[in-house]
Amino acid sequence: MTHEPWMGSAAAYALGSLEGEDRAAFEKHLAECATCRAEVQELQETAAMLAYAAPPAHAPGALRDRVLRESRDVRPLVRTSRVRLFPTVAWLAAAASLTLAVLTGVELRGERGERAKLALALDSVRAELGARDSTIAAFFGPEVHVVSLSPTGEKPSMRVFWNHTRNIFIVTAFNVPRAPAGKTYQLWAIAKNKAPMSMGTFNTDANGRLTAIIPVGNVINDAGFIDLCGLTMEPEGGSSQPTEQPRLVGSWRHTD
Amino acid sequence: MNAVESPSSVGELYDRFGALAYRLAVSITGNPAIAERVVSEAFSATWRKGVTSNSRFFSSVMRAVRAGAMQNRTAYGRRKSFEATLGTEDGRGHEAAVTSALAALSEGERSALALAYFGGLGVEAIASELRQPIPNVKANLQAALHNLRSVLTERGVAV
Repeated sequence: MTHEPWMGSAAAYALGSLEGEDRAAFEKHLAECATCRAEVQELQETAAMLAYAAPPAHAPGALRDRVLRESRDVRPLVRTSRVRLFPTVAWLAAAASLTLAVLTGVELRGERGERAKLALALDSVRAELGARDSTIAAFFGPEVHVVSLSPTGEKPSMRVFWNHTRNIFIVTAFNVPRAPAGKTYQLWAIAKNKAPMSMGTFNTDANGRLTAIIPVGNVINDAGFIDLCGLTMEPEGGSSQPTEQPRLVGSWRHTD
Repeated sequence: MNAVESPSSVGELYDRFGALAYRLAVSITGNPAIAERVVSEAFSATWRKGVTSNSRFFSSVMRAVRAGAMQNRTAYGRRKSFEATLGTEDGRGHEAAVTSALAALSEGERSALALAYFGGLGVEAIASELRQPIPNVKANLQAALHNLRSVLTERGVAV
């Protein structure tokens, strides 16, 4: 991943000063570059220190009570450590075990050529396990929240994981028919008293499935939290605001 | 700020960062009533996202305060924000460290940073304001934050 050409945009992005196509292009790069994500994170932390340069002002005593009162009924979003992804892990582990077992049998027969082929197959499975581990790890962690999206009254057909540590959304879709040519799906973050905020565009495969990683934009980060997620179909390239009612909608899960 | 890597209650977090959050909100909005609302919303929103560490909460809540303040600032606030007091305060601790770090920046870096952070301007608007090419503005912002971080780290202020 080449990130040097992008580093010049990291500070402007961290300060919310990168706009338009520059911003979209940088966010696309962020989705694939851990180095730039870390850079943005560091710069955002540094920028927060600038609050100390603001002119002095005395906070009224009543503000503390107000903050406590308004936060009292707010519960931190549920961690996703309870999300069960064991079937995937188990399948991959079983595949590796099976390959090992077959490999052992081949060794006993002394068929070196076959053994080499199976060793390659094992390497392939290991590589796939490593890649899956990385993706799976993004679903977990101390700062991951989840929302399930579904048509009204039906079973969910999408889930979105918000990994705050990596500052990414992981979008998984199943049984979502592929958008036709010239169209795209667009995911929206909906927060109280705010216009819908685009989370990104995507399309599913021929089987209606998708697993995609989308960087979390500054607009959404700055919104603090989002109440709902909605999915619409938009013209290719996406829209600045939804042009139809959400086909799928869901709210962040609140369970203890 | 000193990183304390154990989550606190809302009350503890407010006691640590509330005054600073309000100060930032007032400097941008220019309106104490709006600033109070912005701070309260920012705290409850950030708390709802979940707290893994006080340092992470600090960074998140200040970003939320700044964003909320930018959306709600008055004409007075806009005018004052351009008169941002970067480098004018002679305080103690973190304030002194930040002030000192800002004073060490070049004029170009400091101006670009003030217009971006307190003015809420994009790179094009900053370039127009400072009559500089956009690549220069980006480079100045990049250098400003890196130099700021470097000086704060040297002074033992965890960022």
